[in-house]
Amino acid sequence: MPVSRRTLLTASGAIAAGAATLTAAACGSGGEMDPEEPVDLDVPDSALTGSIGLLTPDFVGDARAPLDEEIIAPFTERTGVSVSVDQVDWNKLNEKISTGIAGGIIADVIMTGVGWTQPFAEKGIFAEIPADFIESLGFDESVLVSTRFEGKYYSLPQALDLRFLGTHPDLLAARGITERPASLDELAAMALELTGDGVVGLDYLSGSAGSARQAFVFLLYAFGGCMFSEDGLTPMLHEEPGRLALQWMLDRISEGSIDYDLQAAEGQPSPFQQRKAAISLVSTGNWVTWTQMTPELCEEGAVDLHLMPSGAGGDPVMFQGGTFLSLSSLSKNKDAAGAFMKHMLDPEILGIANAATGKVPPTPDVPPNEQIESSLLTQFGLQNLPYAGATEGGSAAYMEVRTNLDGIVETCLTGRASVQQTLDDMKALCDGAISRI
Amino acid sequence: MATDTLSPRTPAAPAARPPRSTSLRRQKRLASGGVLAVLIIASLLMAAPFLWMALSSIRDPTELAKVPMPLIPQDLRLENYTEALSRAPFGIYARNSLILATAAAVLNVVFGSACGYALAKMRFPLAPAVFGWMVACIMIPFYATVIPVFLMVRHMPLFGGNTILGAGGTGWIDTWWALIVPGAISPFMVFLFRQFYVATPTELIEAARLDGVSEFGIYTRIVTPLIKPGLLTVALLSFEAGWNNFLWPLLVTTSDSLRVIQVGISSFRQEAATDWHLLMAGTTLAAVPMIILFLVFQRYFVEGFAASGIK
Repeated sequence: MPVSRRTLLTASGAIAAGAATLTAAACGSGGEMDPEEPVDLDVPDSALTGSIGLLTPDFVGDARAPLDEEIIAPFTERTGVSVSVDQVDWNKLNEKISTGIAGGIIADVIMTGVGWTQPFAEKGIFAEIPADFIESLGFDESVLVSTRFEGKYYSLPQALDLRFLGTHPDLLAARGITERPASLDELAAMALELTGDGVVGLDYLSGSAGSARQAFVFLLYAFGGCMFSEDGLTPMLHEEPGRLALQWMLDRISEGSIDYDLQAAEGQPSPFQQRKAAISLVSTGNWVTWTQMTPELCEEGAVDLHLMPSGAGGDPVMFQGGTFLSLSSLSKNKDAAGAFMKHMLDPEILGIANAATGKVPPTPDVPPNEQIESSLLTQFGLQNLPYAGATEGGSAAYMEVRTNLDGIVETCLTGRASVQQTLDDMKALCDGAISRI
Repeated sequence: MATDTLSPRTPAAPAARPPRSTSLRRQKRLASGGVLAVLIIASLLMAAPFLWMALSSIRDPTELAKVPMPLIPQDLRLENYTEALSRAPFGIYARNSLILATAAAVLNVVFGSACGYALAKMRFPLAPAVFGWMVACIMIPFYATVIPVFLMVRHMPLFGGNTILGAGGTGWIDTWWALIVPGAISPFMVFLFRQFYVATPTELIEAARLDGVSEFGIYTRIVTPLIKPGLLTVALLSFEAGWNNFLWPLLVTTSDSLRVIQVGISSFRQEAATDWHLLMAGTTLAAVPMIILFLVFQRYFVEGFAASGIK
């Protein structure tokens, strides 16, 4: 099995986390940070004191000022608790958390992604969040699926990044296509029909797909599959839906309606923006780029948006990524951390935060916000939140699986491994990671 | 074949001499012209990413999105630089990077040269073993040591509220100590210095010893001045490593006041979108000090690498 630097670091972090826990216990330094101490979200503001740390991969560049001035400042004014922000790039977030766990000094409030909750909850890093509070928020079940571990809640969605399909209506009309695809077979036929004259039918692997792994996961759910069993201890991505997902991509590549080599240079508009692709995977995060580079796509009716049709006769699906809030079980100021989490999930604050980061709030029930309302992609995502069931993760071993899965899917898509070999490799990768939990 | 070619010219040798020398000159000119052309092409290939970076740093963002993008910027947009500087506290980041890089350069020269001198010129039983261990250390990747080093920094006794046993506080985390001390010595720099010192004449050291110069005096006043290119090479490499350091400062600091310029540059890259014009402006600004340093010291730098036998 190839060992990446991330795997090395994650493994070292896991070993060191155990050592750190023992050290903390042995040295008696855990008086104020008992991982078993439950989070109390009903502490009055007047009883809160001290300071807390926030670790976030979001709020970069221009988005930092709204975080400091419109989100943290009112909280500090209300409670007297100061919040220090540790902003870390998404690519280095795992390293930051792993070293923090090893050293036993991690931020009180941690923001991570979909699929990260179970691994850190299993290690005892994330504190359990009371279920009654989560139920009181009224969030859709689809956005809460990846927040649970062993039936308990350990994170909450703060911002979403949703993916679906976008089409150029004029290109479809030119071929006489008026109906939206109702199944993956129909989508395949439509993509083939649209391929030709310098246009690729479906841009599925560049830009918005995120990675080969996420492209596979999206189709896996569209074919009715999932990555792991309910308890996260048995891989399921290698079963029939997984085979169908890989074969579907390979068939499209072989007939030319998906072009594996279709990539835009960094900084250049995507093939869909350049009208080199008739249909494309679209992410809600694309809106900023569209407004800057191809504003004509931002006009009403310029792009037809629809969900990924099902390949198993069920409901269509939408891919869900995002940023999730968790509380550190090692926090020395859990009450203040809990209060800040509640503050971050206030509808008004959700609106401010997501308008600043260009992401989608986890609920449509936010006060009117011009930036959120002006994004047609965000609006489409919010209208279809119940379909956002395609999520990565579901196992405590997923942090070890995620990056290696990319290479395995790529190997299949480039024809260097058969579908069966790829499924076997996926299973072996997951089994190996699960055995090390 | 040689005979066939030369035989017609043999009878008219005296008369053919001027054209032959002209031909040789032409051949030399052609050869040097060819070499020059290859070097120019290679140089352009090497410089292309830097040129692209510099050109993109003054492009309008709409021009960056054009397909195909014009090679030469249509409108010079110097505001990219001011905008980039206003997006993050680059002044603080640049100051921090400068302190970190300067400290890395000075400390590596001081400690690395002392270690290198000892390994090259001082006789002690474990010298080969210590040298072998140093060389082996070069092969350990940073990612394999990051957590142990982090733990050492975090549990540093009597710092950051820690007890004598290194518990209870945060140690060196989020301090200058954490940024500077782990980079104060590198096995590669020790190895480099050892290679420089090996090339210096041992007779000079023996003569100095006979004259009663102390070992420290020999190291500082007799031998080290002989390896000036080596000192500059190590200083430049350490400065460059300190200036470009990204992951370690990110891991051991939490406050903005201790973040470095590479961390600042990453703020232009977001999850869904990247401000390429600002990213290129920031990268150009960050690259300038290193380019200037290399241009000023390139003769010593090249000499240093040539002298150490590392190319």
